[in-house]
Amino acid sequence: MELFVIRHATAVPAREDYPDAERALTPRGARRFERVVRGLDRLGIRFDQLLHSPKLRAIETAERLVPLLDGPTEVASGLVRDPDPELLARFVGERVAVVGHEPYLDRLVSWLVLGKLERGDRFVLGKGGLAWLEGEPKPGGMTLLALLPAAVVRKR
Amino acid sequence: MCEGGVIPAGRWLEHLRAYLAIARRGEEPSGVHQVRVASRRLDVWLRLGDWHVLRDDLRWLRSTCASARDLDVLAARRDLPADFHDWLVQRRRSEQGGLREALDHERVEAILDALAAMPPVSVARARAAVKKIMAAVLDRGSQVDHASADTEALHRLRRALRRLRFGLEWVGEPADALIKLQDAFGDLNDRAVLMRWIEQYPEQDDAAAWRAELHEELDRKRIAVVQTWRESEPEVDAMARSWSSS
Repeated sequence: MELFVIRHATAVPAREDYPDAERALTPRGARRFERVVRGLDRLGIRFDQLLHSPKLRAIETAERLVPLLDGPTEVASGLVRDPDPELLARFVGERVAVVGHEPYLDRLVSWLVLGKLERGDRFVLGKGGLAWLEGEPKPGGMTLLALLPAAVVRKR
Repeated sequence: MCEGGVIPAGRWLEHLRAYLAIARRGEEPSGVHQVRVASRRLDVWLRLGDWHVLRDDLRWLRSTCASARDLDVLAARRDLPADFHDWLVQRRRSEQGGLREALDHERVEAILDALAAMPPVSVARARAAVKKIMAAVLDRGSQVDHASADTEALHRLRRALRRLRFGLEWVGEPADALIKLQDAFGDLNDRAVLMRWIEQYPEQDDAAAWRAELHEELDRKRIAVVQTWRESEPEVDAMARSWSSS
């Protein structure tokens, strides 16, 4: 399996008086991520499964990835907490994309590559950035092929 | 459902939430039925907003309830042979465990959370989407005219008509003209569902004559539904033209 772990694009800042789950992408964040998608397209990247967290910024990011998808989308609350076996069990495609949040995505990559959740500091994803992994979706079962900041993919 | 130029998911999302609890308990057929009704309406709401995500999730939710719904409808009939009816009731009871497990899956709560986080759909965008749904109805309808015995073509038209009705309701427009059509198609679909369950009934020898009778009834119904569509098509076409010019 190839796994694309993607952090949501830039969203409006958090506010105490505003529900975190409803924070939308900023217009600039949305435009810049659309350029990331065009870069992924030019790289020939396609997915056959797309999972995303239930928060609006992840939903809006995932929606922009749909043109690269030939398969189902699924909402997964496992992407708003530390990764667990239940989340991994939902990766059933050959080229799977997940859209979520820090620090959970760092920890997901650390768990899949090193077998440990707590080395996520080695795999920090910027907004709109992605980690490209290959292998079996189990702890320590995957290899990191690339860690791509959004700025790099936008330039493709 | 329009509030200040936007259409929130609000009422139908709360409807879904409330009936999920009832469906889990399995005490009333309305639970499963209304979960499917609400999820279809929310699917159309997503279409009106041109969203692709979450629609597969709602489809999954409907599919988890599909067999239970079929069995609830059939078990409520009083015109079925007693042994077959008893078998249906038994099947429905055995469905409930799996249904509850599916509805307890965290994916269900995630669907509700995601829909609650979504912004409302603008009326302008929704109305543009309704025009596309109208065009799809007429396109599906043109395929039916030339294939009166094609069950799949009739089902595609039925689904498109249902989406159109829900789309109109979301934008606050009357959909009465479509209800009669939906009833006719619904009647055909009910018989097709009955046929599918007869084919699963273990006592096939007992069901043979009755199955043959139902096949003939289905053929008659298909022809009648196509006729109903032909009679209604000018009205739907006029509606589409009126929308196009607005």
